[in-house]
Amino acid sequence: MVATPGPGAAGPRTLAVVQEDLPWAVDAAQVLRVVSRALWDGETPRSLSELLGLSPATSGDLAVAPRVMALRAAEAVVALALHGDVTVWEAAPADVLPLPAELCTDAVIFSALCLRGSAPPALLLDPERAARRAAREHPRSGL
Amino acid sequence: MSKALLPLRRAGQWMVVEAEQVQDILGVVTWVPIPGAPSALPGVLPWRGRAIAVLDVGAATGAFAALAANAPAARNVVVHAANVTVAIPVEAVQEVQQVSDDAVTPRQLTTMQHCSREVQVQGVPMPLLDLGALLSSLVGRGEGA
Repeated sequence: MVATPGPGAAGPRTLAVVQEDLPWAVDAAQVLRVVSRALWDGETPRSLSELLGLSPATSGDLAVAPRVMALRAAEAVVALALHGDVTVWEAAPADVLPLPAELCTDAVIFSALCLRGSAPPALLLDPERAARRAAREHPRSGL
Repeated sequence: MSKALLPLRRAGQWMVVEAEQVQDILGVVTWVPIPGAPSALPGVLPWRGRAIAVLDVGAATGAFAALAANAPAARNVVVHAANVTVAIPVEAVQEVQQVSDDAVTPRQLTTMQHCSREVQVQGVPMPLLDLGALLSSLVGRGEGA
């Protein structure tokens, strides 16, 4: 991916936006790879819906995901099954609004609201929170 | 002494909040649900360059149905209490009512949580929503914190 200012930088931030039912984004600097599901050779990717507690992941759900996005989360890597298209968005600092403290709980894996002009806002995923939630609530069991 | 109160309607139920806690009244704004957020604070909306939580009075008080995501309200009342700023999606608001302190009585007709007092506005009894207590209970902070 393109080298970009990381989280907290004052300049524009390059975000990878995933167009799913719930549009979400991640700092492009935290994206390690986006590859075809068929070419992915890492551990079984997580379903974002599963991490969000919206629905249990099924093997069918993961199998139909055409791509996998690998994210850097501190020392770990989080692999997410992608169902939607990925686009790049150059977000001005004023477009990235941190979530209020009262919503920064262990159950929330997003860190900000990203405004995108006339497009629906996207939620900025925090890969470290996602990794912690995955480890805490959905430990792998022989996957 | 008198008290300034803002009547607002949610799910057909009129209630009042203290006008001094009101920061802004917005028109239609689509709020964004946050998966994993508490049911009483189910999402956010942008306001003055920051994201503020949406307060679902229905979920917070148990008095009526929870907000439906992707169903923007006609009005969003931005309030500040207990060091927290939130937006309350509502169907309607009235003009601020100036009432005497005597007119605010302990609740008799309402069973809404966080409404220990009520007031008659133009002959209609309305619970007075104690935003300080409600928000303190949600975020675990004292009102003066």
